[in-house]
Amino acid sequence: MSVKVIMPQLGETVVEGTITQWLVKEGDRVIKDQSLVAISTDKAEVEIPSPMNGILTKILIEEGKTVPIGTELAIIEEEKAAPSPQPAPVEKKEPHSPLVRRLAKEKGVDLTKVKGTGEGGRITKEDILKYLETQKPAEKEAVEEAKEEKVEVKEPESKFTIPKYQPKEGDKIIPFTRIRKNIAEHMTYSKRTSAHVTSFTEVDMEKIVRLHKENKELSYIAFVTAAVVSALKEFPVLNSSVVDDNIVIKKEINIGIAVDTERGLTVPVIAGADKKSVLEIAKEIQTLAEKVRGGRLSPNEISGGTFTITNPGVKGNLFGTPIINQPQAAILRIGEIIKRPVVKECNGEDVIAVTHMMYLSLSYDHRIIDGVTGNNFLHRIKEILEKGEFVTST
Amino acid sequence: MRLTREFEEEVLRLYKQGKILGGVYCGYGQEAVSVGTTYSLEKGDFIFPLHRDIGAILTKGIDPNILLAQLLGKKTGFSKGKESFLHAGDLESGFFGATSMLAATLPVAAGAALKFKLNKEKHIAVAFFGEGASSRGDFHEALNFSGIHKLPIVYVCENNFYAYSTPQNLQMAIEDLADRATGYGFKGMVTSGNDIHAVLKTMQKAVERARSGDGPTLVECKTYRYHGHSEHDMATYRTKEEVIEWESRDPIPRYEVYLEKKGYDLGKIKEEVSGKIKGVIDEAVKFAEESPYPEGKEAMEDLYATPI
Amino acid sequence: METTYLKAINEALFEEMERDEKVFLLGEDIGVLGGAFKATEGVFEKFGPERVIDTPISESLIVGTAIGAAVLGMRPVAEMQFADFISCGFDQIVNMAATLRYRHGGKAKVPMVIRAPSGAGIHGGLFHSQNPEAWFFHSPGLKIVAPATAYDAKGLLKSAIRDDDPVLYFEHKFLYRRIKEDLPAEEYLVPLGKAEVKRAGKDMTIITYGSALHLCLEAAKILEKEKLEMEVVDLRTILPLDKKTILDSVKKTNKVMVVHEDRKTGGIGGEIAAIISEEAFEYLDGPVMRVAAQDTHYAFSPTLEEFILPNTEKIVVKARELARY
Repeated sequence: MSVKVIMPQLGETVVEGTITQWLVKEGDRVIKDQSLVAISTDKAEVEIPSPMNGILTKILIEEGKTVPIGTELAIIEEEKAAPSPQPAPVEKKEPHSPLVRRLAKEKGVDLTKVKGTGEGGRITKEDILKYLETQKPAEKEAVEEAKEEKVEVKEPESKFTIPKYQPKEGDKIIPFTRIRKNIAEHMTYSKRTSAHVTSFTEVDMEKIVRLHKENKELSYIAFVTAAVVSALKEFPVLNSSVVDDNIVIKKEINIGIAVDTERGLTVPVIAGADKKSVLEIAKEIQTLAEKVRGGRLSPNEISGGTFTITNPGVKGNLFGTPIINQPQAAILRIGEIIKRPVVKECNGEDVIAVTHMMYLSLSYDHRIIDGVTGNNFLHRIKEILEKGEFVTST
Repeated sequence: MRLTREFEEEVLRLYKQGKILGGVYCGYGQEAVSVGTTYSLEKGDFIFPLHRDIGAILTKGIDPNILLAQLLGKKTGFSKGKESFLHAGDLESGFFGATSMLAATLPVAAGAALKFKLNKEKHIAVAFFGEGASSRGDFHEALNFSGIHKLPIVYVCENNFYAYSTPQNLQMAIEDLADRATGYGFKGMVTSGNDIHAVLKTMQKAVERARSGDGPTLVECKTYRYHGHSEHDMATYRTKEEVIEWESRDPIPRYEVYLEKKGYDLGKIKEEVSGKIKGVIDEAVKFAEESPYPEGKEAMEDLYATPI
Repeated sequence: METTYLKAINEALFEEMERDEKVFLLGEDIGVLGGAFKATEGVFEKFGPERVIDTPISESLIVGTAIGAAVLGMRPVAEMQFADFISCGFDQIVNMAATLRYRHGGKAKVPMVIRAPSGAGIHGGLFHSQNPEAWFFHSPGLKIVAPATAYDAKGLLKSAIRDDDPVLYFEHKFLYRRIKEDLPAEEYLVPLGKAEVKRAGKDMTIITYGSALHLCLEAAKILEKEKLEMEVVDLRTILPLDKKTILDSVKKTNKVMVVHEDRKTGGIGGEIAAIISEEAFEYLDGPVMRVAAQDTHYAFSPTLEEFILPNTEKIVVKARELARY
């Protein structure tokens, strides 16, 4: 009998997880509940326990890969008569009836996933039949995801290597935390996946600065968010994902605001940003930021984003080349606001004025967004901000 | 009688060659009984022989070829190999197969006789048993019922004084088994079992009685078997003197003496008979030896007349 | 018209004796008295002493005579006054009747029926209550039937008499006057070797025969209220078993229990369970359970009889147990 270890769902809206580290290797004997693999999602880091005693015969997904929920990660096989001194593992589960075993075999059901309502927790005929009903959509998904995985694996691997750096005495060695590992993997994955192109524009922020002075609650980032949302409505391809050979343009506009913390980058999401006023957005950003610092974000609050805005701070942040937050299609980075001499037109004449200026950097996936579209989108954001027309009340 | 004896000698020969499996029970010495009782029966009459009665069924008219094939366990035997020996039967030739439970055929014989009576047929049943078999309950139940209903049946007891190793005095408290008939309401007759004429005469009377509706008769034939109970029995329970005494009463030489006295050319007769018999036996041996054994799966056949 | 189980047997005998003059009856007290239970009432008056024979107390003779007459062409229906006495005719049945055709190379047959009132529940004690079918169950060459309804009693007896092999017909004496039903006026037969689904259901199968059928049907009514739909299969013929009907039902419900009045150990239920386990293992969602009499003798006192015999409640409890599994 063999059992598959699968990527669990660690939050209602969590759709994927990343294999951070395999804690056992192929061929290892494992016992029930022993930690097999460390995975992380955007929020949480979890170790998956073994569902049974046996041998981990196959690891299906390598470390670093991000896979959807339900993906098979490994196979554990029941141990046959052991020649080794280790005592034969005791099967704690109720024995399955012949009918249940046959149905499980015929339909490819992992009995460890079926809830038993018979006496002693035994799985009955009704239980397995009910389970099969619920599994129908998931099966399809799993199959599709498996297909996606296969495509990735086919990438030709580079033969170029650099000798690993050997730490010297005095060097400080900081082992990756789960989140660090996750970020590291995500970054390189993103770069490998999307054809990153970055465009820049500068924005005259005078009007926004004034609005902000009038109501300190209205933060700059809230204004930018609102502007982005408007622009996305006009250029919806920037609010999409690449799925197999399809561009999936999303209906919802959920803006993720990247927040830097000690532990690393977190991106809380303002869901349905298109339905919110600047003030609402500002307030929500504030709340989320506090939650992030307090480590109190729920999985729902960090999932489901369709576009990301990143603001790395006010030092050394003139402009930059942000990395797209997968599986999105674009990311906007807000630069510092600096007073600069700028040529402006005033009463038909060119004058130099000290102006609050801000660079916007837009990285987009050139697989599906061409230069003109990307630039136009970016320009639109600039226009909206410079015009300064916003719904500022709640 | 000669046929019987020769046949049985052939059987012994084959047995010693290992061609006959299981036990062989010889009627050696009792030929007069087997032959004499069956000699005057008609077609439609049924006999219920036991293990020592090859003579009876040969006389009744069965094909010696088939009989020998039966003994060899061949497919061409009466039971197609399913039983050895005389547990098989052949309704065509008018004999019923027995079981090893001695006297169990007696109620069945009574059943046959009952059928003849109910249907008002002129046929009769002749049931054979040894004095030992008469100790079983079936003997009592069958004779009792036959007496009540005056069934057309003759019960022939071959009393050879020994039931395997048990002498008669340990088998019953009486001298003549025929006396028991009185208890069942009919006649018992004792006869000298090694005198073919005596047997014939007695049997005629009994058959008459049965056919006319006067009911059963218990015919007791005093005789002796020269061999043991079966061929693997050394019969050490008998004295040599006793055996020799009875050998002097061998029915076949006895008959030969009679023929001579009557003026028949014994030498010529013997030669003729021998020749005929040899022919019959040789043919039987050839037939039986050349016959095939049944296939293993035939063991599952012939259990039901209407299989479901 | 409503006919009792007993009357159904009586009718079958009458009809077959009229239809075929080769049919005759023999047994103890069956003629003048009409049988200890009146099963043969009226037959002697109608057909006379040549076709209805009052025998001495000789079970071995009764069976042996029946065999002899049957081989030569008649169709006797012998009676054992109580099935318990069949042991006195055991040798004739298993060694003479069951083997006769076999020993005669298929050239003879024994078309006889032995009727035997069997079963407990009438305070009969050890020797008026037995269910001897298991002793004969593994005798090839025999057929065994055990009707549970008046309809089946008549139909099966007629079929048994017309069958060319020795048939043991166990009529359950407890049912004689206690059950009755409307029987068709026109002639009908119930085939040997075919079980019948007396009650269809989807949740659990009960396989049973004889008087236990009625207990099972009662139990099914009770369990229906607990949302347990029982399917009740009446074997009707015990040898040979109707494997197809049994296995079809098991494949349908996936849970099965066998119920019979005969004792548990060595009872037919064990063989049925083995067949199901061997041939329908992958359809079982639970073990094959049995409800049967205790492994002791059929005691006399009512409290003991109650303890020993299966009843509706014991069946219900077992069914619930199996349902929960």
